[in-house]
Amino acid sequence: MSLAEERRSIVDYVAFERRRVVGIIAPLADDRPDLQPLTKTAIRLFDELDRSLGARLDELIAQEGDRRPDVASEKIQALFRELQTAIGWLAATAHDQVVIPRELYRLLRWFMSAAAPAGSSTLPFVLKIEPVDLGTAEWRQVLSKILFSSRGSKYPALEEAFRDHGLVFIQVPAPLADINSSVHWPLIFHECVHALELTVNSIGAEYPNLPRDWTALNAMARTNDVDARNALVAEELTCDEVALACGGPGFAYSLVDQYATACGVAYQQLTHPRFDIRVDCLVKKLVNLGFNDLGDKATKRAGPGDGSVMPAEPCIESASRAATKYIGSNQFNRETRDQELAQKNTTASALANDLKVMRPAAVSPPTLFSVTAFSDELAGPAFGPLLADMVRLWTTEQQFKQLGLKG
Amino acid sequence: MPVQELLGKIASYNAAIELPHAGMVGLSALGEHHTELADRELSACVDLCARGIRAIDDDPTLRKDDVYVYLAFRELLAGQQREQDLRDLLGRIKDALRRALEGLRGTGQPLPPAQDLAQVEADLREIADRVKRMIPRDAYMASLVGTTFPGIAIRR
Repeated sequence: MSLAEERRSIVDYVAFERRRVVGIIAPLADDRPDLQPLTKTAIRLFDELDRSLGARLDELIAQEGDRRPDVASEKIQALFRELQTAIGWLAATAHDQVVIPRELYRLLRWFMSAAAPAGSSTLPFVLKIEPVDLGTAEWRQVLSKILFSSRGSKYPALEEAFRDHGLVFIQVPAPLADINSSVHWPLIFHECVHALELTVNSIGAEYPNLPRDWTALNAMARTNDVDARNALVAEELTCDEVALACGGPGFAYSLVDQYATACGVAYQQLTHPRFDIRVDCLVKKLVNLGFNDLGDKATKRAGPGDGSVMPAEPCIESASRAATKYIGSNQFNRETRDQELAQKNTTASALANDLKVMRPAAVSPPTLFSVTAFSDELAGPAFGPLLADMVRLWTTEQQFKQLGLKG
Repeated sequence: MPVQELLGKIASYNAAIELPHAGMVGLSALGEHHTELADRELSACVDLCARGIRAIDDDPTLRKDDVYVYLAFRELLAGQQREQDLRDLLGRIKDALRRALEGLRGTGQPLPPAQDLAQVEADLREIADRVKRMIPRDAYMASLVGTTFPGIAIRR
């Protein structure tokens, strides 16, 4: 196949993918406003490819095609693979929406709005299914790494097209996204804080000499760069603290419950704090918020440490300072919870009993998940749809209130 | 593998593969007397060889300023060639191309003989093969997209 034929088949492939992928994504967004950012990103990608891909391929062929057609072919095939990856990333996300409950989007939208500092801007987000890991990635960072070259971007025009257009992908393991697992959805609040950090940048102020690009920090941490590691660890602890303070004890329960089964011993990671330190910080915060009983349960559920004296993480203090940018009057504690329940003429124990007999109530997510926290009776899959329904009920009630509708 | 690690590995691959590409294009341009292109590409290759050697020597400045190049060349060491062998290979390429650049720029130095340049070409191919073997970029990219979308496997 000649270089001209390779060029033509790549351009034809992208045109075909545009019809196919936008055909999948656009109808989703008609029905679900949450997904409009995904559609806009896909259309922007294909618009730019329509505009400049041919010219970019021509540049590569002109530079090397005559004298080294083998190198030119390799380069345009590599670019083709990179574009396939970018397109595939978006298309896979579109496919994932079939299995992601809308209630999960409602819950996370609520949390983003509750946790974002006043006056801060936030990037739109979509959820993406991942086989195993929870994670967060920003589209422009994904594109810049896929198109990275030691001599500058492989496709500058494409990256430039997204300079002011960010989109966060929150990656959720399939079992956690399932509606039957809704009792553990607060675990994802942690990832929401990572998403907010992209614009709030509270950790950046603590570590001003480091890049704020997650991939670069991760790479530096893998080279045993102590500062990079501390920055990543501090950000993880900040995300834990904000998830708990704004999202309620449900987050602490889910972290301890879901991760304690996976790693029963504290071990050193390059990018995350030791599990025992995370639990220790969360328990202190739970007590500080008035949830002493839940703090005891968290300690018991996490299990004993290995008995050795471990040094404190040096970044705990910078993490707490960073968290204060988020936590203000939006902090959820026992007092605010009990006040909300009193306004609804109920108590935490009464609400728990209602849930056990599948009776719904419209209470805020942190209140709801504070009642289910560490209650094994309410953790079964039978309660999953009920809890999701209650999230939907409460968020709908809030929308009515905002609209000033009566009835 | 977490997404950030995957992206880092893809960036590392892209950083490393540029070395043999720049070298091969530069050598061809040299052979055809395309001075400007040869100068640019050979200079880029020499620079990347120097950075590769710094990565093998665990240069802390490179680690901070150019982490993907650093990681790429550290990956090439893993479990395969001894440090000194890779260092020697990069050093050979760098020295030969530097002599070629001096010849090209008319400093009075002659161009290296054709058989030396042929050896550099072979060395560059070896680097390219090593990069592709040690950093399986296509697998990382497929993992990034995930299994719900088969697009990466579609053949044209």
